[in-house]
Amino acid sequence: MTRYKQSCRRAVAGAPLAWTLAVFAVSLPFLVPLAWLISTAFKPDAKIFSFSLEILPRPATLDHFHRVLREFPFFTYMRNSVIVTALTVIAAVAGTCPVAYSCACLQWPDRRLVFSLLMLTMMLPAQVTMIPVFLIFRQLGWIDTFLPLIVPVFLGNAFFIFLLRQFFLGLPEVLIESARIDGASEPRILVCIVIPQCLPAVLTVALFAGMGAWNDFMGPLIYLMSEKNKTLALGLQSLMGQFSSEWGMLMAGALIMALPATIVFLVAQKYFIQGMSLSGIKG
Amino acid sequence: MRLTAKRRRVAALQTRHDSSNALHCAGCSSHFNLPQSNKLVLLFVLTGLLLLCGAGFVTGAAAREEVQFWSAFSGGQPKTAIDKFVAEFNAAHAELGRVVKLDVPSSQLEQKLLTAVAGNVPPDLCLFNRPMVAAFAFRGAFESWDKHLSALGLSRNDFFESCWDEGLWDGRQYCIPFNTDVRVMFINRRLFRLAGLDPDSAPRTWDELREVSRKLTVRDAAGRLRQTGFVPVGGAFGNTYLPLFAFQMGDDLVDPAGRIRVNSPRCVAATQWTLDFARDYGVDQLMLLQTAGGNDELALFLQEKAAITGDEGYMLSLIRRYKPGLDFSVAPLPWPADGRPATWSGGFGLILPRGRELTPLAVAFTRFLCSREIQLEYGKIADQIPARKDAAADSYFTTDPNWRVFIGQMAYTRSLPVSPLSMKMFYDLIRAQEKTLYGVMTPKAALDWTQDQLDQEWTTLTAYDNRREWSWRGMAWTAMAALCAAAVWRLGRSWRAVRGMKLKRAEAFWGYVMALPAIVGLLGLALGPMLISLMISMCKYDVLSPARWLGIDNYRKLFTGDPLFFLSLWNTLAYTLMAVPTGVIVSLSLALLLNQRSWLRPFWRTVFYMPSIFPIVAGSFLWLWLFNGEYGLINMLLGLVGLERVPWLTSPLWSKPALIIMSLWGVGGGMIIFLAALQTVPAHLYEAAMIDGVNFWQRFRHITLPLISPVVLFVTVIATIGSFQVFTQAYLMTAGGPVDSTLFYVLYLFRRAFQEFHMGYAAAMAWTLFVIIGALTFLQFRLSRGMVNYDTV
Repeated sequence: MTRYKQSCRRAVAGAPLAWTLAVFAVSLPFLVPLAWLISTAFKPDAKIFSFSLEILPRPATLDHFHRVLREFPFFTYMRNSVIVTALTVIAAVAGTCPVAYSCACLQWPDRRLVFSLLMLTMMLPAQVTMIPVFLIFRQLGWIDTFLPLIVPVFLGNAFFIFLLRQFFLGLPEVLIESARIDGASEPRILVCIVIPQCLPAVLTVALFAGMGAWNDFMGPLIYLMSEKNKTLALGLQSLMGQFSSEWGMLMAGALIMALPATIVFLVAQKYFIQGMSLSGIKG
Repeated sequence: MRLTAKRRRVAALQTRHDSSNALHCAGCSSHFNLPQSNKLVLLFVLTGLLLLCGAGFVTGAAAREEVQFWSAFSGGQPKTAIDKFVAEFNAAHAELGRVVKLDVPSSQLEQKLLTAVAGNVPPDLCLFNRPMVAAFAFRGAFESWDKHLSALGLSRNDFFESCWDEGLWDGRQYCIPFNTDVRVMFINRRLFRLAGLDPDSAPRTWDELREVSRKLTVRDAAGRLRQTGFVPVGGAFGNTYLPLFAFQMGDDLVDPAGRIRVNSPRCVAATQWTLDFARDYGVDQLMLLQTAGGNDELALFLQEKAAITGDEGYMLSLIRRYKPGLDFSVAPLPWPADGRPATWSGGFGLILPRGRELTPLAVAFTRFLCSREIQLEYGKIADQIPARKDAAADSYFTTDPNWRVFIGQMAYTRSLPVSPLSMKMFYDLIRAQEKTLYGVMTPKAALDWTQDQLDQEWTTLTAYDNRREWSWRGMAWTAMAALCAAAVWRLGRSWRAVRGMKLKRAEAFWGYVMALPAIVGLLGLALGPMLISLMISMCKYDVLSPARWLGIDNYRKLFTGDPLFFLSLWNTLAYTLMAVPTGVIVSLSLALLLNQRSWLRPFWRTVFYMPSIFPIVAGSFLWLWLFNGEYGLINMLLGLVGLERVPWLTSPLWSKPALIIMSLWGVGGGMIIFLAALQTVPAHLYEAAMIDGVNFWQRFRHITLPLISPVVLFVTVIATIGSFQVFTQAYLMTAGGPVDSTLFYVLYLFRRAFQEFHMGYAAAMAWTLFVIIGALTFLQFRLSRGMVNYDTV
């Protein structure tokens, strides 16, 4: 590892500036759309519908934000999104940690079967089970509640289980074995040793789950009916339905929705990148 | 507290572990104390309770005296009016109870209402789109008003007949009309004068309309269309007028037997006329101009880019709000010389969803909304003609010259034929018109095709009623029970084996217990539903009425009689074939670029990864704006370097590339995976290669690529699976258009399942998708054999 680092350092030592410039140029297509989003959200309508390319709006206006917040129950949507996201995160951690631990560190006869079936469900297109699951939730009277969005995450999201298992497998077996010899029960080992040891991994899963719930569109589209239960993603869609030509307002709405997700990402990006990296290496 | 005694040893173990496993322990604390751990246990136990509480809080039941009322007016003046009425009513009837209003945007109303009725959570009353009433009544989703009409004191005589009759299906009244949206012609008087035309002599015939439009057309020096007269086409262009023109040609869109008929010679002639008219402007020039606002011609009129438009009274509100100084007037829509004066109207009305008793409060509220005073006030606030005749006869409407034209047109107005197929006909006609405009089909062929689709749909709706009713629920329970029995048997067998063990018994016990959520999930949310899905795919099932057994008919129809199935499959395949390879190449290139030792690397990594966590709904908005034909950033930049503007999302040729460009914006996830893989490539290989004087490409081709080939395969497989399920972008940005060019498989499936409620058919589609994805994945693994190197160095 160290030798590699050294060689890398040697390799680029000559041209860090050229490299930085190259990366900057390549990053423009990724950054400019975001800049344009922010710029449009703060531009007065007259500027939006002119052929001007200015990124910094002068004069900047908060009109679009005022209108979005006035004409839409944005705080209801926001509250619902926050509730769904929070409950999903809790459900994901509570549901997948024991399963991943069981699959990674415990010996039991059907482990292989259960784990490989779980991995197979990752391949299963959600559409195959979408209709029956809808019918099952309907039978349970869960339509227009948050339960259909949360319970499936609790009952084993294959990707999260896979991710956590990868981390748990990396724990030294002696660690668990010695706790076992000391008479700690398995749940206790999980809670007192494995989770604290793999806190970054658990955080990664929590973040992925939260991000997924915040951004989810299909789930709320199918299961949530009433205005009082709508999440931000769904509410934003109705914004588009009614103000299809008011781009300033639409961009303001998009910005409001994207902002929390982006901030969480920027604060905790280490965990996202770690999770993404791991899903590929051992996959 | 025995665990504390071992702490030191564990900590010692851990130091070793830390050095060997840096990745997992980044940020791990090397201490853990018991009080904190106990808290964790407690947290775990509480989690389940919290989940239940959270759910309970959310599901909280409504109070008994409430009338749940859904309104389709979720914005603008109509919403203001309904808000006001509900508040007034609640203030006056506080002792009886309360009307609780929910606004459901009309774009979602059909799907939401059908799901709500199917899910047994319908509202008590709903303000609903009249042309859709028959489709819902046909499926038994609504109760009829018949037995309540006398209590309400309402009858056909109170309303415009065309409005009332739209709610009449199978001899029963399912809808009490509320408003109507009769179409008239709006002309921009300033532009008329500019073109040397007299704004007071509005065109009266189709020929005059076309002639005047030609004079009103303005192009800039480069030949770009800057201003139009009347634009007769809809679809990706906005509203469709095709039913209206057919009415004016003397066609009612039904055959003598009362079945919907869209391919009569007169219909074909009307379509041909719109096509010729659009070609006067140039179809691609129209496309660019029309995306400028919000994909509708309405915005064009308000921006004074179209001098004539056909619209309803609501246009008056829009003009007042967005273009207060606009010099305009209103006239009847022109009709063909050999046709008849006719216009078109739909509107909203009150319906009763199935499964709710009409309470006295709901009766009172209905009577209130349909009273003359409220109807008149609604007309004033929302700038729409009320459905009640005596309200429309008020001097407010009869003295104003503009409103007089509207009221006068009510004598000639027609509505879409009342049929379960009327809404499908409306959407299919938009598609047919698009097909003719883009030159995919002649008007005759397009309308024949549409007729064929409608006939097939009619067969699907009616032909299987003699089939055996089939209780899939019983079968589903049996299947689930069988599945559970199999699981119990299997687990029981293993359990006996476990009991034989002395040493590991507790461990195995906990293994099962802790994996329980996943086992339940596997049975209840994956394997069980798969079986149920398979069963439903053998049925005709619309959730509202009992399933009927079809055997393999759904599959047979899928493969022999559904052009849209093949089209959607082809669209998805084409999208995948373009998006996945470019995505893999771009993300790998980015990873190679970033695989440099620099203190800036984490920063750039974040920059490239950020778009892929951007919420897809917000991202769809953003790209819709970037791709805007007129003011979109991309077209502006193209213009800057002297290139022609591209009609991104309004052209069947460019819509897929546009969505692919958007997908490339989110390749950050793949890049991160590649970046991680690149760091596992041992440096000494590169060093050896450098000594041998190998160039960059050779190094990449012969060292990097073979070593990361499993990851390349992994990313490709995952991207393929994801790309086959592309949905949200197409649903939000293009709704499958133009000319079905972005009708992707899952979008079509969703439409079939949750908008048309052909659950059985959709389940058959889902299974087909499953098989296709399985086959593709298998193929990828098979083809990559010999290319992927699993040896580790």
